[in-house]
Amino acid sequence: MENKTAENTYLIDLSYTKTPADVVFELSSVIENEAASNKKVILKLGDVDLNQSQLLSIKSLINGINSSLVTLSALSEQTQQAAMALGIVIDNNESQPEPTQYVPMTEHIETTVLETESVEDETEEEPVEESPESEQENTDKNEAEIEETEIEEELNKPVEEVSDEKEEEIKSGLDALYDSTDDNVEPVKLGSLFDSEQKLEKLFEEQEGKQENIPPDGVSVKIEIPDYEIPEEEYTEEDYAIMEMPTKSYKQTVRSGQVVNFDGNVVIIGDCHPGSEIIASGDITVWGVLGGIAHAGAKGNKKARIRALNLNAIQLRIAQYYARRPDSINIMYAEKTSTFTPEEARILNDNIVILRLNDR
Amino acid sequence: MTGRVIVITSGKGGVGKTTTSANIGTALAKSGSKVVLIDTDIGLRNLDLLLGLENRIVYTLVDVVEERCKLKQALVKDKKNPNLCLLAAAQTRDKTAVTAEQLKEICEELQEDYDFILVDCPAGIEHGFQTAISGASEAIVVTTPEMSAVRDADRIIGLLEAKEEIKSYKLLINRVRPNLIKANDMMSVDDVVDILSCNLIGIIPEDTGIITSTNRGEPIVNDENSMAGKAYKNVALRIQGEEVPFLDIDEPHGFIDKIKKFFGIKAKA
Repeated sequence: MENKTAENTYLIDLSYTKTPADVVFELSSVIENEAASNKKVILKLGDVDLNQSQLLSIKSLINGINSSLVTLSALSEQTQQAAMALGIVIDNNESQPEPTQYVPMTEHIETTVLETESVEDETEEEPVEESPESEQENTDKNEAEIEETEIEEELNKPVEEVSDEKEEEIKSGLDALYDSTDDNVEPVKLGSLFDSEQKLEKLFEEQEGKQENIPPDGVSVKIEIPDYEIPEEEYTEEDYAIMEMPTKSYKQTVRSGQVVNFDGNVVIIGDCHPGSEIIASGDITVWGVLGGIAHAGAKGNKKARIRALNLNAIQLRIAQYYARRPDSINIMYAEKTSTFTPEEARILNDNIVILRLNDR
Repeated sequence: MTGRVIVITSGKGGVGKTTTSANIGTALAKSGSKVVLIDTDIGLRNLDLLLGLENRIVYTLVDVVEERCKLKQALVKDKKNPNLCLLAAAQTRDKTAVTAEQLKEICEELQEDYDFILVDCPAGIEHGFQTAISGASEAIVVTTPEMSAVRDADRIIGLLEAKEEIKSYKLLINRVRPNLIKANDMMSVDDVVDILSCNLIGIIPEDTGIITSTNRGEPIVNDENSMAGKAYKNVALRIQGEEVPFLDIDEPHGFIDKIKKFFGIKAKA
């Protein structure tokens, strides 16, 4: 254990500790040393993951001997983030002139990793690839091999999430959900939903295996999309049937628990919140964010479509097909953005496919 | 096999019935039992969100009751644990959509295939509550150490005692804050037990991790380091008949001891 005393600063080197328990154990024995009181403490940690409250406790422990924790060096990203959140300076060579000899060489690299992360946090939707790469070049490549791969993995995430959201499609036979006298509805297939769920899960697993550079926690799972050839529009009787249906428009926000059910086309001017249901025998058009469940062609018309300014539905159902939002997309709160990508869901080759409106 | 039907109820809203149901259910399933969670809070369903299963629900309890699907079709399997199933409530209907007899039938049908059927009860003592307790033979009354919650729990226990089918009921005290109890600003666990004169099945400390776990749709028992998660695991063990001592949630005396405790180090001899 190295505890170097410079003028008014006190360096505690705990870089050899491996667990949070060790850190505190060593720290509490150092603290009992009187030389440590009334000093500015520089804490050097190794590869130990500390969360914010643990770090706060350490800080208070140091405050308890009339010293203050001014700077901290750590290998763990989690610790660094926690320190940043608590306003503790993460030291690098420039800001720490006195005990330079104790600051590890990797310091500079680590801070750049942190910076790239914060850039990504701000721009989740559109990944900024240039800035992290340019910063990466500045880093010492020999020493930063591990960090570099981490950056690459981090970079991959947002890209995949976007592609997931846009192009994932899941197919399943949806049993005739609503009482209908219409003969078009296919007979109820028991258990078919779960069979397809299992198939889907297998698909997820296979894909996870293929994508090796995806982190094992699997925040993002990429599904490779077979290239769909979008066929030329050919109007069938079903299309004409939809065109001839009556259309009803609603000018309101459809909230959780509310149901819009109409035999015909439905147009909603407003948002549809999660927990709401829109059921129509024809098309569903939402001039706003679609966040709930939408069932178009509820009486069996497979040409029915669902379109929205922002298609963020928990489930999409068209005729007897259903698609659910992938678990990898975890949108906690309603996203109200100023940029919309109008999208349309339709059935293509027995799958529900979401297409951007300008794809056609 | 005959499964045990346990209703989780409280009277007052917001004390943690749904969180408790999700966590006990997950903990029981983790230990190998087959578990069904039934959400009876029709119109205000939340249990699916806590388990992260919202996007998989096609059929609900109401669909089963109204015979639009078979019971097995409506059971949503958990993402991680194949032993855990959810029977979700409908969001677009209200409590009157299911009657007590109908839920009782469903519970009896599920008893044949599952070890535990946990019924998440809605707040209040009206129709929804009467429905939820109809199929149950055991009850867990959730309360917090606040006068209002304790008063409501007392009322609920009275109603449960009046019901012959409920063979046993136990108390679970949620959101306990040892530092407030120490400062005499909060009723202690013993106070609550004295007032309600009811057997205790668990004490869950207040944990900010619950908020994150709720938002992520991931029950906190999956988090090994969480105090609340441990407490819920212990509750599950007690339900299975094991004798587990209550977690020592009292904070240690000295400051350094407190931090050592936080990091899991035993005090020096």
